[in-house]
Amino acid sequence: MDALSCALNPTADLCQHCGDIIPLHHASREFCCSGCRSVYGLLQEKGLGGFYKLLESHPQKVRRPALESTESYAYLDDPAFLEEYAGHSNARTLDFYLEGIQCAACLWLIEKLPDWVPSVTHSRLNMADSVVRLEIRPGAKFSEPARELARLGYLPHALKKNESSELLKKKENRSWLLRIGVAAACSGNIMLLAFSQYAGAPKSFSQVFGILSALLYLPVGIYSAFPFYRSALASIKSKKISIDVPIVFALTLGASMSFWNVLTGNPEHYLDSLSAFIFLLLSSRYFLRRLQQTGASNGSLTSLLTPSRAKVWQDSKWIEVSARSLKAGNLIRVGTAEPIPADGKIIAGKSFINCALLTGESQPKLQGIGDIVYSGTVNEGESIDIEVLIPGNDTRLSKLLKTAEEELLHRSPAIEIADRAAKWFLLGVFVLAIGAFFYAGDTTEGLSRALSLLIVTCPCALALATPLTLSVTLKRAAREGIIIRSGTLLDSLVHAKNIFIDKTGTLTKGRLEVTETKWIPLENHERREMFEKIRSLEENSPHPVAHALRRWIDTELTAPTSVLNVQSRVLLPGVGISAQIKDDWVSVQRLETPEWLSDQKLGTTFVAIYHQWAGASTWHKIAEFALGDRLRTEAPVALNKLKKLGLNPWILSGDRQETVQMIASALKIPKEQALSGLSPEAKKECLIQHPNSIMVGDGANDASALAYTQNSIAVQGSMEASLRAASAYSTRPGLDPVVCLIELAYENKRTLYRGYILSITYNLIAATAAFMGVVSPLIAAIIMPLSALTVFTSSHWRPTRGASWKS
Amino acid sequence: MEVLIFLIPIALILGGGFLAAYLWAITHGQYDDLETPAYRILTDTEQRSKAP
Repeated sequence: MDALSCALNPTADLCQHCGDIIPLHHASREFCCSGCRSVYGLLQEKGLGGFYKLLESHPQKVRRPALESTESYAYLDDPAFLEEYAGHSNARTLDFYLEGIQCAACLWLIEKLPDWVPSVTHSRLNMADSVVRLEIRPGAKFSEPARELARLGYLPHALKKNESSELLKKKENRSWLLRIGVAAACSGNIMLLAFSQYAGAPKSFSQVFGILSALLYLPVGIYSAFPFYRSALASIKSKKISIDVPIVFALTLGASMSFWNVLTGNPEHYLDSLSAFIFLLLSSRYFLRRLQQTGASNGSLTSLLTPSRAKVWQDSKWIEVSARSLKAGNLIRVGTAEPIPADGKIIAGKSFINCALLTGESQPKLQGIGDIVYSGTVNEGESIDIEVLIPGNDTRLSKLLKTAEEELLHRSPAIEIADRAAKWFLLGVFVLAIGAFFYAGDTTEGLSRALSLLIVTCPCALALATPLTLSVTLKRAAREGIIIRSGTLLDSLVHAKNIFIDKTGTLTKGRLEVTETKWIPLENHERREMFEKIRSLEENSPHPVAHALRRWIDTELTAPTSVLNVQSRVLLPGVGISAQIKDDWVSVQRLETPEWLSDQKLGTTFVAIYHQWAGASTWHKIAEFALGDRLRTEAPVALNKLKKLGLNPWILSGDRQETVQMIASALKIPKEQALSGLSPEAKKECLIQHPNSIMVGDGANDASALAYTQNSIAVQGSMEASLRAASAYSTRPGLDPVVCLIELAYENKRTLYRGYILSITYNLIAATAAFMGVVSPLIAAIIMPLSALTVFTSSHWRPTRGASWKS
Repeated sequence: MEVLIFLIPIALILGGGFLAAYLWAITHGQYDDLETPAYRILTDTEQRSKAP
């Protein structure tokens, strides 16, 4: 997958779809996971094998293994949903944000959607913000293309049509472009004329050229430069002085002097430099704007919060609707491994509910008739029927997330400091300019020096470098799969002392795996037979234990196995499952902590396998399994990097103390800094007690802690919930993105300082020169854009550290 | 040298013409998405070679 693994394992098999190295113990030698296998099969079936040819031109991109999804997306067909998201219930066009867009191959595949999904007439992808616009035939449903996209690994999230703000953004972008075009055209022509003046045109021509230049300057000075005037005026009115004020002052003064000269017959003017200056400044501002607009805008991000689906009993049948349309009193059915869409009371059925989202417990609780269950928790057992008590925005989860949302609207302090510094800058420059005027003695000379001073002292670091540096950092983070919502994050990450990491999913894999197993003595072929039976038994079960057992058996088997026919499956609620396979009975059942496993491994769940031969009447226990949530392989290295960055690591978890302590010692974290048994509120308490800390956790489970501090990073978890709660969300699992983000934040700071130093040095030298009369306004107007360009380049230049750090 | 009386207006008219074309391109949304077309040209090659 990366250079190191490739070097260590030169003959490793690579997954045909995603290019990942397939671990040696995997049975299949062609694909790393079933997700990749199904996408590959799908593409071949549709004749879209060209996808892989296109991939070859992007070898450095690490393809992520295909995400698996079994959703039906039926809520997209709900008229109420369409009404809200697309404007009217018969809408035929809808925008979707897609996860997993990486390169041209993705673009090709997605824009080919009409070829193999007949209901789609038009599909257009915008790669900058990963949004696809789908148009379907009249009468067709959106759920079909959504399912196809999900099957390919691009999870779609419907976006609300936010007409007013989107249109406004587009119009503004266009008018900026026009202003730039006008400035470019006119300044180019003015420069042509000025060139001949420098070259020594005869007086009469020179005067005519001067007049022409003045005429050409009018569109630039009035139309193109208008945004500067507007912003300068606005800031003066509100008594705050922004960067644009000195700029406007220099422009006005320079233009006035030039026009005066031209009108009085003196051909010397500065219009070429001024108009070029306006062009350059406009371009850099526009560039910044576009950079900041890359990636889903804040507005559309909130509409990513697709309401979850719910199966409601209506008109004597079960139909799927969006959770938004649920009302109190509705009867809903929640199946296995499905999240509960609203707060309610169980009416029928009994099942294990995973409340990790609200309590942080990784052990599911058994709930039965009459028990209250909450929206967001997951049903891990059988289907249950629930009467909705509190739907929609008043559920416990919604309230939690709402407070998270309200805390996320901050501007970057770096930019605010820049604006404040501008005030002092302006004052200083004014004072200097007046000083230069008097110092020179002569009026014309004095005016000329003052003008030079005003033009040459460029608040570039403030006006350009700060927002530009920030934007480039944001873009790099996006390339690493990190979405940053709040500008304050980069500043505050650098000042943090502690880092609180949630255990489940961030330090650990977040899913049950077999950690230890003990078998009765068996021959090889007998053992293999048992594997087959257990696997067949657990084949279709969505239960985490079933997943874990299947995965483990897949790695143990050296050759692929067939799924045996399962007769009479018996569910033992709360205990396990039994079934008859080839006339023998096999049973998988929960076990209390066995003595041989109790304090050694990271086991949290224990199961035993029982077997009964056909015709016999006694069960034999043939194996015991300990299952637990394993530490991620990259965690120790990542943690070391964090320590090197000067951060003090803590572990927060809702899990049992023994489990947490085990992880802490494996990662060499002191005992006092590994806290267990914490509720979400308690995690938030930790952050309150330690200001200046970073919080890293799962977007859904740790929502309140993540929302409390601006220094929060959500790792995996559902994108929707994470984006509400945290300031940054990583689409890649584990700690590596966190380390990456923090390193980016440091680099951002360094680049900012570099820009400041460059700018200050330049200003000191240039201001002195102008003061002493060494620099004429003309030269000043040429030097100034050059310095702006230097600072601009400096903001972009990041020393390359490795393959992934490209601009 | 008098030819300049003729040349300069021509230069300005040409410049103005280009500006008008630019304005047309903007209002027809050609500059709205600057990233995707760069990728799109890479993907069209196959289809074109299949065209009769």
